[in-house]
Amino acid sequence: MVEKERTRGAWESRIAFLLIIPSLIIFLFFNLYPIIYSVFLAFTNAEFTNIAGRYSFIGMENFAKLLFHPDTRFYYVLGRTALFVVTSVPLKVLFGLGLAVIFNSRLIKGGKILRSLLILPWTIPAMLSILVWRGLFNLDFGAINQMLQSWGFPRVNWLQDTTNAFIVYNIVEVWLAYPFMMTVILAALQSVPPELYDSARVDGAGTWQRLRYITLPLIFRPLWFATILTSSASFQAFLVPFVLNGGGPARTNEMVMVYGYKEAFQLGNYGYAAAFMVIISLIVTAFMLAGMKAGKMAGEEES
Amino acid sequence: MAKVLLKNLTKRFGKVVAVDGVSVEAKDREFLVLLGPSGCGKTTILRCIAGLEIPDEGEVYIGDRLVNDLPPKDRDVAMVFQSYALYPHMTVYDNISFPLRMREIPASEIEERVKKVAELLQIAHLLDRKPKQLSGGEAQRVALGRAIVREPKVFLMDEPLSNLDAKLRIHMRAELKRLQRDLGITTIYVTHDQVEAMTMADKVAVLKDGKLQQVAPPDKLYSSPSNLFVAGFIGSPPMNFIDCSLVLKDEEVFLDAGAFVLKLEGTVAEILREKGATKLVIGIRPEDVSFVNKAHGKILGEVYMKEPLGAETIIDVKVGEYLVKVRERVGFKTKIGDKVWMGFPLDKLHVFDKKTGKAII
Amino acid sequence: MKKRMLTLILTVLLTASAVLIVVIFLFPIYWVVLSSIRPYGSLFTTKFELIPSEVTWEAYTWLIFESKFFLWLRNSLIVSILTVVFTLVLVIPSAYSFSRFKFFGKEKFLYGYLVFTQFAGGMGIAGLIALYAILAYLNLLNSLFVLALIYAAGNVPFNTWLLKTYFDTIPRDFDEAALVDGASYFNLIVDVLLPIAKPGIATVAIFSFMGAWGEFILAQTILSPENYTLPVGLYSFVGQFETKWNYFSAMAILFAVPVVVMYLLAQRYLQMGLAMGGVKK
Repeated sequence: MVEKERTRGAWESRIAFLLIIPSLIIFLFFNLYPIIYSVFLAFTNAEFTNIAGRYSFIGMENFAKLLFHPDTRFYYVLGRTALFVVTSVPLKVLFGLGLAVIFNSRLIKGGKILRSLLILPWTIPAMLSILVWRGLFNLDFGAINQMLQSWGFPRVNWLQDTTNAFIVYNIVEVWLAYPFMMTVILAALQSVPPELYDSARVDGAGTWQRLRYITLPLIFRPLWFATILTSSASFQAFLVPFVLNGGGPARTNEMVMVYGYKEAFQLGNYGYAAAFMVIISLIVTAFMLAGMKAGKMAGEEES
Repeated sequence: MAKVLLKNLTKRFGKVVAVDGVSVEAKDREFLVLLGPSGCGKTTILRCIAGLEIPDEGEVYIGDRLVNDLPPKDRDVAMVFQSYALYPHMTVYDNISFPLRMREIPASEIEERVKKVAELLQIAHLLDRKPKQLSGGEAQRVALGRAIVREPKVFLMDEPLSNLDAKLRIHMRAELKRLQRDLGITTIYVTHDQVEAMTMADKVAVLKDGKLQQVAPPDKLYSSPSNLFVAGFIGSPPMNFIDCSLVLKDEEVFLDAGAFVLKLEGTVAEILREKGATKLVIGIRPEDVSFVNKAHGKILGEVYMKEPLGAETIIDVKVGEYLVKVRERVGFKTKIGDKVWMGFPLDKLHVFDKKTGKAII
Repeated sequence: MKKRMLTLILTVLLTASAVLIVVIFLFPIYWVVLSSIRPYGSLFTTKFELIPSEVTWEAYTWLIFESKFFLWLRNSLIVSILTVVFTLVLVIPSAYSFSRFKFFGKEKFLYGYLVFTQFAGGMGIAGLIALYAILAYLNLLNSLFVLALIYAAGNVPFNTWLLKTYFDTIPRDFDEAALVDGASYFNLIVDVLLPIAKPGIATVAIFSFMGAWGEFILAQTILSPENYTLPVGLYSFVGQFETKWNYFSAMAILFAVPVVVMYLLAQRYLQMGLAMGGVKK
């Protein structure tokens, strides 16, 4: 009898694996393998002319060039990206929080319809939205400049000026991210049991104290993880700079992802770009892990 | 129609022995209840009969056929689940006809049989509804219908009434019993509710920690429980238990409980003397105790609490460190704190060996 | 009485500002609609017009008769539908297996998928470079079929999780009831589990469709002009004819409408699917 049980277990295992294998193979081949392979490419001289298989191993050369060559753009690109994280993340969190708090109010009539209208941009493919923003900020026919001119201001060259373009990146990034941030925070706000507010009120807590001692501690964790995720998204911003003006003007606004992409696919330096992306991936992963850990620890303290 | 026979059934989950060498038989047309607290293995036994679990040891027979190796669909059993497990995306009609469709029975016959069952259970007007639109009682009937429609050899029921409210449960109890009798299908019914077991069963199997405690018809189970567990599990309020020791003095036999001493006579005394176990537990059911005057009293106590239930009152009497529950008719005038004498007929006394828990008398 | 007045005033103020917020945030969408029906010449004014003084369908007739829109649309449909089919074929069996069977290493696989969904983003361009090298070596560049397969591969971890958690919420009682009722494993899955899991499956299908419909970077990297999907086509159009903004707008609207409509129609399903799937983030 025990023997029979064992054979049935083995049969189950075999069926279970059989059902998983196809998805696993496709996933491993197209997702995991390229990532491992990219680490290998980072140590080769792969470039436009030899990409279909005739490149060779060159050791740490790509990494040395990236980190120590006098003309390296590594530090500039990394700095520009860090600046974008530092400016866009607080904006995204503030907008998300602000919108969530406003739309959480039960006093708003038709709040449900307004909310689903407000998150409509979420459903539009990001690259299309960015193309539209590229038009909105167009020097000649963009609505932004037309408004400025209607109100008597001079028109602004938004996308062909380094600082202006950087500002536009932030605006567009906020517009792309607010539905996600708002939804996460709204869900967190609504998951706070209403009895807690009633109980706090009975205990004599005012509006501010309820916010400080009940709302914020209870939404801290989801808010923190949303912030980590959106920071990681900012750090890896690709479509926004790439589609708006290619990280220009004159490569001054290239973020890490844009730089890596252009090095590989426009300049053909595949090995060099792979080395760059490997370093960047390490930074992102370390950053994410640290953020998650900090969030977990803080969360445990709260609870 | 068929009997169900379990021989030395054992089922382990990892290191936990869920069912431990259980042997029991449900005769043809019999209503067998598996009764026990949660985790006693009763549901596992049912699932072994259904073929949803494979026993580690022992044999399961349905009719005269050994079915250990048969998959559920070939066992010709029908099961009613605690959650009813009505397929939410199918109408009531489709739910009831599902087992027939799986057996590729001709459509005209399916329709006829579903109609018949629906009328029998008075759910003909619900056939087009989805399970979501049914009340608890209606869903229960549909689940029954799905089991009945196949006319299986055996019904297996896993706490089918536990999701109903108290009133409906009592109603369905009687109806289910009636239905089973009319259809004459062997039924194995799992419950933790001793009242359900007592009212519905032809025979009850009491389980604890995977082990069979006693198999008997309800009245036998009540009047002669075979051990402390069964005695305590059956009956509400439960039997009163008091620890005591056996004292043999000259030719006389006494039970010393500290707070009182009982003098025993006749065959009762003889049996105890022969057995010779000194650590004992005596048990007496609340309805067998009565308040008497001092001359006929056996035990002196103090009224501690009264729980009026309408037709009767449960009175807790403090005797030493024990609370003895007494079931009294309305009209009992004693106040809390009064001293009272209690008596009982000696033949209603149960005596258990404290060490083994087994009944001696 | 005083309190009621205050509530009323607050209601009016809050509702008004909420409406204003929605109007401001949705302005880009309105502007695209506007641009698509304005004549080309009137785009280049120095005065902002909230309501157009002149309306024309010129951009749409151009789109229908002269543009490459339908070529790109065809390619996009092929890729998106193939992606949905591949994703479902891959994900349903594996999610079922993860949910219902016990087997060696199951927890590790699932955990691996989860870690991958959390961190793989960081390897995006690196993976893309390597993928390009691999596809170039295998001579598989510029294939819509391969593109869909890669999209489906990318869908595997997250959607397996999603659907697995959805299957987990379906009580095993249904499986067992069906087996006792005489169903085979095939009947059990097709007649009982899949219909019950419809919201979860719909969620996976819609996510896969929307993902493939809007994906730009990979498509842009491996496709040549005759195989351009809508995002790549639109991007190349703007690169070449940026000032033909009315044409672009018309195409943008037709590109966005299917996914927005799909989202609105399936909102209930999506929310149910996501809520039930409740992936721990």
